[in-house]
Amino acid sequence: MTALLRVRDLDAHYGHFQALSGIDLEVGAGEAVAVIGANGAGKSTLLRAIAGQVPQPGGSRVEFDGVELRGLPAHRRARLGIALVPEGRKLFPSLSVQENLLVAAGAADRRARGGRRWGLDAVYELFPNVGRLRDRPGGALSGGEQQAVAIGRGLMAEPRLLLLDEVSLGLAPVVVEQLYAALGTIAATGVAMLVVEQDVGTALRLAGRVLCLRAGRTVLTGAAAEVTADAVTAAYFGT
Amino acid sequence: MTDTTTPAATDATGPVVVRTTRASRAAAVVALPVVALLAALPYLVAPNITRLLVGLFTLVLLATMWNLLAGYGGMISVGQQGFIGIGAYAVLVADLIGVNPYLGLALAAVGAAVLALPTALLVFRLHGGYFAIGTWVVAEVYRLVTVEFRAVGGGSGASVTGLSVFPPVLRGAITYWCALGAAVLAVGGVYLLMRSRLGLGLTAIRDEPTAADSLGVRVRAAKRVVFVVAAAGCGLAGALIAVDSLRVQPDSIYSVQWSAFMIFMVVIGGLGTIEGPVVGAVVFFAIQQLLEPYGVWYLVVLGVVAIAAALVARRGLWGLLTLDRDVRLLPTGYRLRP
Amino acid sequence: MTWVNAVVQGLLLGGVYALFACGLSLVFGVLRIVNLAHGDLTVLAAFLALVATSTLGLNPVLALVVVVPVMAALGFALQRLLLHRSLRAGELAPLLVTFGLSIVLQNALLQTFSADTRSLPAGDFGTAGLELGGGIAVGWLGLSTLVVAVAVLAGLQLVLARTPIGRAMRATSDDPETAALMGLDDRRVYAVATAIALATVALAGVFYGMRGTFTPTLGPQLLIFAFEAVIIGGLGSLWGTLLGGLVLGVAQTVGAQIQPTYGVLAGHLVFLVVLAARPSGLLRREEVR
Ligand SMILES: Nc1ncnc2c1ncn2[C@@H]1O[C@H](COP(=O)(O)OP(=O)(O)O)[C@@H](O)[C@H]1O
Ligand SMILES: [Mg+2]
Repeated sequence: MTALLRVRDLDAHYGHFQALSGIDLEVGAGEAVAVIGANGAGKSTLLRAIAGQVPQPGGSRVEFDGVELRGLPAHRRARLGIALVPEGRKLFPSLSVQENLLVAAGAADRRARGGRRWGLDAVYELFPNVGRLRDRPGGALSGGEQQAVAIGRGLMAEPRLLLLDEVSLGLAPVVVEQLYAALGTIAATGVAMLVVEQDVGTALRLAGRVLCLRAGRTVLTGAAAEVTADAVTAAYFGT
Repeated sequence: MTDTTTPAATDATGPVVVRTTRASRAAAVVALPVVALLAALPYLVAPNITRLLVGLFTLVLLATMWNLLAGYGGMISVGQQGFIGIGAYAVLVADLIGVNPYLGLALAAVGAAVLALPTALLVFRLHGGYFAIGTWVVAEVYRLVTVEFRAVGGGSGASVTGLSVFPPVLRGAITYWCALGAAVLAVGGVYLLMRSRLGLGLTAIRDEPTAADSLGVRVRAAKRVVFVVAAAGCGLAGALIAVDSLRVQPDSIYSVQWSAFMIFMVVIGGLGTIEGPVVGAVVFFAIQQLLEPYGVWYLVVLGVVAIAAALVARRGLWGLLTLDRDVRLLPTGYRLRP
Repeated sequence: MTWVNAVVQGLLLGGVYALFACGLSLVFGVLRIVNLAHGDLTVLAAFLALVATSTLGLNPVLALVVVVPVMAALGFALQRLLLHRSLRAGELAPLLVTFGLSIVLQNALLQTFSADTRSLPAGDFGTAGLELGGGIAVGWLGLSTLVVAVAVLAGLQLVLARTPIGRAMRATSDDPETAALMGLDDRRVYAVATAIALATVALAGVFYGMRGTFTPTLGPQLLIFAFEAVIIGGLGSLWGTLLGGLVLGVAQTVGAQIQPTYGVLAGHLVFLVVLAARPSGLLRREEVR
């Protein structure tokens, strides 16, 4: 089976600062992989590079469904089926909740001609409270509600790969619980996921494999069942 | 800035002092003899040449003022012609009440600065492009109010008569010295202002916008100072135009064309540098002299060049020149050999 | 009665100003660019209509069929070639670029068409009107300009609020980076917005050209009027823009009633008073952030 996403020797720079060095990563169709690491390790940069928000240097390869993505701007990648749920949710404040969802639907228009899996109804079924808030402005929601809308917005683009950046950040444990239950449902429909979290335990609820970053480099990879807590701690802090 | 642990204060003054020493050495070596030579020019060349240079110095003054606003203050004004007009009319008023029109130059600078204070109160409520148009509206108001006064000629303007007591050659020389003095004062003044704490603060904010929030109040005050100084400079320029041409016509002295000229000079010469506006003024002046006989196409060409400069060469000609120099600085040893 | 007439004529004049202003307002709302060439583009549209009427023998209203698409295409190209690059070249670049464009347009028009005063031949439509009695007459042209202005503003409001492209414009205006993650191409969204804006500019130019006279150097004046309408009404509110246009129009005609040379000045003064007393405009909605 060929991987849905194949990343080879990925570097990323902000000006002269190198935020990622030589990252290798594969995600199979329908697979969930966790990316963990401390603040500033380069997790968000990795997701942003895959989504097309950070330039891709000549030597690096990012293949999606067998197609090299270099030079493809973010909106074209979104239309191919890569959806990033960004750190901080980034809802559009002057759009209502429902408009926030609808705005992403256009990304899937060409691919979804054969029928949509994720429409408004499906998202409202997955997140019932989002349906109740549909006419609220995107800027007037609680953190958990915003996160649900942001995930729903990602789904409206009919992704084959969902990139999730710190879904649990700043949320109460019960809310995280609900969101991860929904993510489990999404994963079961065959959407592949790259789950960024700072907390290993949270990420491993979904993911079968884990990649740990420190200072822009891969310091640990392995199947979730095989990596021990000690190994993770050591990789995380570099002790 | 290699040592980030140094306290901010010494960090800010340390390298700057070094830089200014080098710069002032260069200024002493190059600029002083040049200024001395320019000052002696009325004794050396024909009056028509010094007359031309009055135009150039006025442009240098204007460009330097606009650069102070936009390049250092971050304010794009399209209404500086308002203060140019006020300055020119200050000369007319001085003339009317029997004051020597050359004293009107000082009156012009002061008058424009005083008027700039309430103007700032209003236009500072607008930002970015709307600030730009706001300054323009104010300039239009100045013009429309000015033409209501019959004493200064209403809509058709008036002539400066008080200067006829001077013989033409002497008058030309005095005007020339005034213009030279004003240009030197402007360039030197902006240089000193930018070296002061106020200037350093403005530059820091330009380069690091996040710092602006924490310094909010002081930034506003600094911007107001910049606005007032620029108004005074433009008022002085307007007064120079009046004593040079001996005639003030409201539609042309309050024309937005002046703003176009200032923007062209600064953008082409180099926004946010001391030298750029001077270079820009010289280039603009040369183009104007060469191409003006062919009609206003030269403005079309300049507009295209300014657009290109704003898009691709943000530090203008001066930026391109200094980049060259930086490259040449590396092999210094070879350079010195001949 | 002359005062009532002045107010009525002012409202009609305000229709033109509202029409001028909506393109400026749209470009600012979506691209966050203040287009300093807005007035010169309006004048360009009037000259295009002049060429169309004189070479094709079209009535100016029919000339809209040509001028509106041409201006819209120009807007699309303008965004693609100049404005988009200026957005990436720093905070001051869009202003410098659009001001440069203003000077280029003005002087190119001046060289091509000379400084002569022109007007678009509106025929009977331009002179006939409705007698309301008491010395008050409402010209058909003025009335239809006001109706067109209201229709354009309502149409724009509807497009922004209800259609996918309007939604895309608001999302891109909020946050272009995140909008790209949703598959929106900001270049395209901006170009469509600029095209729509210039289509309204074409309407404004043609109606203004029929109502009065124009010269190649009129652009800055028109920009100022459009700007005053936007600020008086309140940034970001299209109905505010209509109100701003009407207030400005009335201020000018009432000022001119006091003394002919006071017209424009009175408009400026009303603008400055609004700016001093209510800087966010008469109809500014509180922004949801
Ligand atoms: N826009 C940016 N400009 C410069 N440096 C950045 C930018 N974004 C992130 N960085 C730097 O890149 C590194 C990785 O950041 P990030 O990917 O956000 O880390 P993480 O998501 O793991 O916390 C950090 O050192 C951060 O300071
Ligand atoms: Mg992060």
